[in-house]
Amino acid sequence: MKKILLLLCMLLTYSLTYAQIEKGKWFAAGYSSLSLDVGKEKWKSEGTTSDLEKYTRLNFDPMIGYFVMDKMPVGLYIESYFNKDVDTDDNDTFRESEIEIGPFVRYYIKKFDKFIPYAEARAGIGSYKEDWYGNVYKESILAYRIGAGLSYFFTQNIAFDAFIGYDNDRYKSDDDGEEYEYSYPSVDINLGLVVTFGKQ
Amino acid sequence: MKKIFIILITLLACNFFASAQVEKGKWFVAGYGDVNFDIGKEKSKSGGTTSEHYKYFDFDFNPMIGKFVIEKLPVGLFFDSYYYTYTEGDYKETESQFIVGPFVRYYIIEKNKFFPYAEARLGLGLYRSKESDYDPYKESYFATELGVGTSYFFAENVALDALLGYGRSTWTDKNDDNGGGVKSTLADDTQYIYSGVLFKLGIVVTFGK
Repeated sequence: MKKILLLLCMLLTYSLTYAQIEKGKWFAAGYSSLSLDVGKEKWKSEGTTSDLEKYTRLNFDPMIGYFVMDKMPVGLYIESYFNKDVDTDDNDTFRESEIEIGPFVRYYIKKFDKFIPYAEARAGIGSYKEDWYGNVYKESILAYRIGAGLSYFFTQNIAFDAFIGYDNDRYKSDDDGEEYEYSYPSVDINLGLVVTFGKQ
Repeated sequence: MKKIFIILITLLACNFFASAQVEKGKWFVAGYGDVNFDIGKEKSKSGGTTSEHYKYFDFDFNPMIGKFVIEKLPVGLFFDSYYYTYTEGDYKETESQFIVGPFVRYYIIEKNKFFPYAEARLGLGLYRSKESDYDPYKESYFATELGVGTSYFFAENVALDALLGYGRSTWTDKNDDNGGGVKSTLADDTQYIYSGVLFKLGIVVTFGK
């Protein structure tokens, strides 16, 4: 046990001097994005085309942090979307939205050439709302994710990022006075890009 | 029309800017492109009782990768694909989509770290869903997208990317309604068409060489 503690202390206090992950730099997950799609859906059959509905799709999924000390970016992530469908015939409207927001922290442990393994945790709160032609349904969200991964810096500030972790999202509702909860425990594996920038 | 054409030709022909970010031989990757696996289950809790429901497996594959074949012009492929299974007792549902296509982007000019561009892409694909013992449901996909945007290189090779475009996609029913592998006339003609304006904001990176 003493040896494990000693080893952990050595890993945590290990002095890394990497430009990529030093204090004062910014961190962003490559998937961070905002997209908006506004259009209409048509149906075509036997040569006849009919309007079905107008749609709006909005997604906003940033994950941005700041290296508050060497090797440790801390920041916020948001996972959110908004969908709206309006029936062309009778203007009946379906709306659905979800937002989850929370802090994350990542700790880069040790450098092996261009590979830097890390541990990461995040926790978020949020809400889900559905409005089906005037019938509103709401849920609150509590989520957390914990895992480990590896950033491979193939340039000075761009890394290929692999992550594996345990994720649990809980949706809680109070429908007609009866409280219930849906949970989705899962294993997540993500492969993508991360970038670090700022402070030359 | 003639004037616009002349302006476009002039821009393309007289545009000799050379920046390290967009030079021939470099790679181009859209940051949003990633690969995700999600393996889990649904549980519910009500009145102190916890029940297990379905198990699921979700795989997403959405990279967009290109190479600058000449200066300022990355050409490549994008994917928009997923595979999803849902199992509850004997019931099983699978859904998959595979979309792939080429894209081309042309960086027109550089102005204080801003690189405006025009982009076009073409997508082809298939969608399939199946519930337990029922026949699968299939659709084919065809899409075009055109747009203009700007990359703002806030770091040497990392840019914030904004695109405004127009997209049109068509899903065509490919089901054998008559059985025995014979397509019905109705199925051949049935299409869902989506057309609209797109706005995207994300990260792109260029590297290599």
